[in-house]
Amino acid sequence: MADLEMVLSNLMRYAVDYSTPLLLAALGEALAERSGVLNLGVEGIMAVGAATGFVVTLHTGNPWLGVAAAGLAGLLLAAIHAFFSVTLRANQIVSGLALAIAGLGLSSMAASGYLGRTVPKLETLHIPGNLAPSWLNDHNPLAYLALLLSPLLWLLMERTEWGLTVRAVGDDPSTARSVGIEVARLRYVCVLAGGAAAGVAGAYLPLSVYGGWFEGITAGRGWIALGIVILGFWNPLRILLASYFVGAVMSLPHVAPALGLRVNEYLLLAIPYLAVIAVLSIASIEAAKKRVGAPMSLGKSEY
Amino acid sequence: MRLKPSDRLATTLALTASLSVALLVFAAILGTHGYSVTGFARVVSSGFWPPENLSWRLSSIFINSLPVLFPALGLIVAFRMGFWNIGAEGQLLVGMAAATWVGVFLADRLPGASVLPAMVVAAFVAGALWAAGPALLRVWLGVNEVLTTLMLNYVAVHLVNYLVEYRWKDPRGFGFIRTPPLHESARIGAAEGAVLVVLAAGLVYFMLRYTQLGFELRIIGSSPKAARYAGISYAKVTLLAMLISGGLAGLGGMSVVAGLTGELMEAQRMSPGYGYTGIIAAWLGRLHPAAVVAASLFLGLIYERQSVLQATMRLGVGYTMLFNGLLLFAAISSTYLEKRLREAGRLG
Repeated sequence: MADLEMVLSNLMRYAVDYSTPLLLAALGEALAERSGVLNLGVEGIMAVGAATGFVVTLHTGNPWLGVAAAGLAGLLLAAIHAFFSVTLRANQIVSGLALAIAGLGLSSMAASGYLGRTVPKLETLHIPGNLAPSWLNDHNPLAYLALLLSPLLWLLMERTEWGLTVRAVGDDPSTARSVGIEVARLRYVCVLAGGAAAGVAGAYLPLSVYGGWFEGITAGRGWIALGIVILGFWNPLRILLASYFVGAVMSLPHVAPALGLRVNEYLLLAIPYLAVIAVLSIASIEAAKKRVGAPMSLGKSEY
Repeated sequence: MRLKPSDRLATTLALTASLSVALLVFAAILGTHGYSVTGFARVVSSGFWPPENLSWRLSSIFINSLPVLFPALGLIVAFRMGFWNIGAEGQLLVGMAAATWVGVFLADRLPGASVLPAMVVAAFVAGALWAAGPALLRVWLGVNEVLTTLMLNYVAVHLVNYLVEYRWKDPRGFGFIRTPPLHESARIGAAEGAVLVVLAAGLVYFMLRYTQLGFELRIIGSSPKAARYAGISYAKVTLLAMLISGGLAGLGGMSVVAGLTGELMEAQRMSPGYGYTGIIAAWLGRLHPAAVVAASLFLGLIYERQSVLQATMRLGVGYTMLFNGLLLFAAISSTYLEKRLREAGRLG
């Protein structure tokens, strides 16, 4: 059974790789949503992050500059959404969709001229000694950053006064404002930080997974990240588990041949999206039982 | 002097201002990416003159707008009740596949006059069924429809690609991944398209305005709570609305194979995101059928020039998505501006 063990270890290794961009984007989105702002633009921000990371790395030869530029680009795009939904109090769903569509278009315009070029990937990090099991070792630093960010965000949200304030703003902005909290400013901070995370998540794709760029590189990962936030009940630790689960499902095409599974390639490609629908349904049942739900003012611009 | 705009003036001013800003931003982005803005404007505005070109050009724009127009009409129905169907793209793709199946594999066994009606029914049913899943999940379990409809878009892409490559590939297609061409009787031109548009727009208009379903749908849209007290069944209305919404998106898919390509290829080559653009048309037209038709024609103008822009300026499909996204921002800014203008008018 050594074979099966190896396949499993492979699956777990791929799952970490695939879950990283989902986790980064979902943590960022969870922060924004906790403050009451739904940002449906994640897919567009990730696409621009991927294009920016790719192009900047191509010109500078330094993938870390690519990551930084992608984070900045994500922050700027999120600022547009924040302006519309917080300052103008426009419909958050429509503003987010506009950002998603415009971002996808922008990324294609920016990067398609360099189609076929390759970029250096981020170097992997080796954890010395026996600290990490082999499937968890030798990933790129962003994977570990995402893993660390999850408990840190949990601490921030659940154990600090700032986190409490953010949650208050997300649940009941008018009361929060009446006790002197600057609702708009706080929402801006959360949305911008979330955008930066989505930008970095996008850059992860060319700079770690593919080593290049192609049209449709994000493949709906931004939307999946939005689903993961719901699966995770807006809790960063649960979001980590949900990301890892979806990452494992996305790894199936890599391990299916070794498992002797002969499934059509297109079915394998469709499975992650169907899996997200399935687990969202299960999570909805669970949420109803446990009476957990979205931040109470989520998606409502007026308060 | 104080501005005292009437409501209509406020709407016009707000829309004009927002659209102008969106166009300026678009021009600026084109320019910074090294494309000629005047060249773009020339390509889009060319071909309307002399008059003998005009009717050809208009009917070409019309045919190119259909893949946006039908989904947009369907989205009116879902959006009016506050149901966020973001899955028109997937509903369009499965409708396209169903229409292809009829038009390629069934057409020579059917009497000529029944081919198009059969395609319409197949495309509508396929789109409606694709939309029914998210509606049922929402009604039964409360699953967020934005995500389920979206996920199904990606599933539809892989489904179409699977069908084209593994089931329906033309054995005489020189290795290209595409189906055999549609039967002669399965193609539509501007005239057939116009009939379908009048039927679909009429259906949506009539349903919203004069039927019990339309009435209940609008109540749910304006106040779900009031609807519940009035004893309106959210489940029934949601399901019916999504069947119509998805069905019309499916018709959009039929208009792509029957009106434009004449064969089914990989999903990426069939749709540059028509279903998503339908969202923009629906919003630009503020969810009114006639205005949505007008908005779709405007968007069709850009799609119609796609191949020319690609050939002369090497502009890929990315710019249409950027353009569309900016238009959607313009649509919501105009709502905001209009509100402000009206307040100013009242104060003045």
